[in-house]
Amino acid sequence: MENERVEKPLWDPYLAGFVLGLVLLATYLVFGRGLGASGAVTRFFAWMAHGVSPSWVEGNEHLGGYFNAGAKWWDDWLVFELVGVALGGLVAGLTGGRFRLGVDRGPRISNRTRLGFALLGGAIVGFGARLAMGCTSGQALSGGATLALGSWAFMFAVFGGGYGIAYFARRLWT
Amino acid sequence: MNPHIEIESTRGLAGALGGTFWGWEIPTYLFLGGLVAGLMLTVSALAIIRGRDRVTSAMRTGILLTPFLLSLGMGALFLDLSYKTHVFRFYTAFQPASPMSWGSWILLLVVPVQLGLITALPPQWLADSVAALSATQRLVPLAKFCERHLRGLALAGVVTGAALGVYTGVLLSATVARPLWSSGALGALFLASGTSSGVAALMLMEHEHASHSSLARLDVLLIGVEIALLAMWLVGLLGQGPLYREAAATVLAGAYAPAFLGFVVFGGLLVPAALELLALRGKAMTSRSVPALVLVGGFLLRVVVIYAGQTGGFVRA
Repeated sequence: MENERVEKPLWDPYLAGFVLGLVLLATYLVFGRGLGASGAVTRFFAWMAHGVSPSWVEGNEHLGGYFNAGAKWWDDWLVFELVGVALGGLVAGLTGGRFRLGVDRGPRISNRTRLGFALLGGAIVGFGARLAMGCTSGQALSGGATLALGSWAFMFAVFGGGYGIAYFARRLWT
Repeated sequence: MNPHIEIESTRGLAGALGGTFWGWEIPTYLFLGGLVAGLMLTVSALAIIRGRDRVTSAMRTGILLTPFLLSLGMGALFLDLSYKTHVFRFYTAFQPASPMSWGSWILLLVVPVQLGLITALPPQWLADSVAALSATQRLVPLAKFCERHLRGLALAGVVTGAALGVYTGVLLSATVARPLWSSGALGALFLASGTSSGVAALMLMEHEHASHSSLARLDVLLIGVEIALLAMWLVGLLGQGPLYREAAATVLAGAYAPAFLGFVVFGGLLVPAALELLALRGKAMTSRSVPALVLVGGFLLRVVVIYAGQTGGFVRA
């Protein structure tokens, strides 16, 4: 029984960025690792695929390590980080009066088109993140904060690619 | 032939399975049993305190669900049995010293109470559907009888619901060879957790604002009791010998600590309790996501307790 509540204004983006930096610093101090996301998603889908075909997943060079003897699905702290992100989002949405089901989309397209493009984009990003060994969280934020050259190259590639593809995809949002 | 072997669960295979003798079936059964106990206790207590007229549609639906949820749980339990065709032997004897025997008979007592409560407190759509069938006219005197004796049925619901809820914990605490389970607090802990799950399930279905708020207040109270009982359980273990301390460490600092502290205590108790309190004070929206977190936390509590409990023992298989 979701009820309506006056929406609180969003945080100032510069303040949010500063706090995100502090969160990143805290994760290095507490867990010895930075933020990430795609690793947990990979682990989740590996777990699902393992339910369908255990022998194939265990024999797969990329995914097999998740199922070594004694390995558990919660061995990676990214799993907890992602659950925490969902819980934090729920708390923020409920206390900020912004919690609702919906599809954010441009005015010209249907929900189905938006979700279709989101799935396509997500698949491309997921593939790219595995190729780059990290996503915007693992490479750009965590790697970038340690001044890793590859992470900065990744970040420029992400922004360059984003601006390049925006020309073709802008009508989805305007 | 030894009758104990004929009706034992797969825990008899402990040696063959390298120490892990219970899989997903037992946590599923304990969770659903606790949830059913919580639904019966809550709705029966509210029927006694508030009277029939203030038992809401969601609460009637909750009671209607209990036999189905219990059947699912008992189905999981059945899958765990080593000798499935011998299941009837549970009901050819009563062993006062065996929690499994107590549990079998409690499960048998619970079902007629559930059916009586459903007959006395049917959801409106069910009452209308049944009334429209001519074949059910012979059931009218039975329905009238149950309605007249609602208070007695509700009292029976409180007693059998509490027995079912406590039994899900006592089943473990009687297994003294596993130090993590060897605690008298488990019966009360599983009763509180099951009741909280039952209240959360009612909150998922409740549309009346006042009743939803009452359930949220009750859930916050139950979560507080559950946290206190979790503390009693673990402090009690830490205060005993090294094997008990080692067992407590598996959920506080060992392999199961991230799942226990992260998913059960933080995500399943502290976060939903905080959100329910904020919503009661008008500082957050109410949402079905919050009781859903309580239900997930209740299930994961049983998963962690069952799996972590099997990693330690006086005799390692």
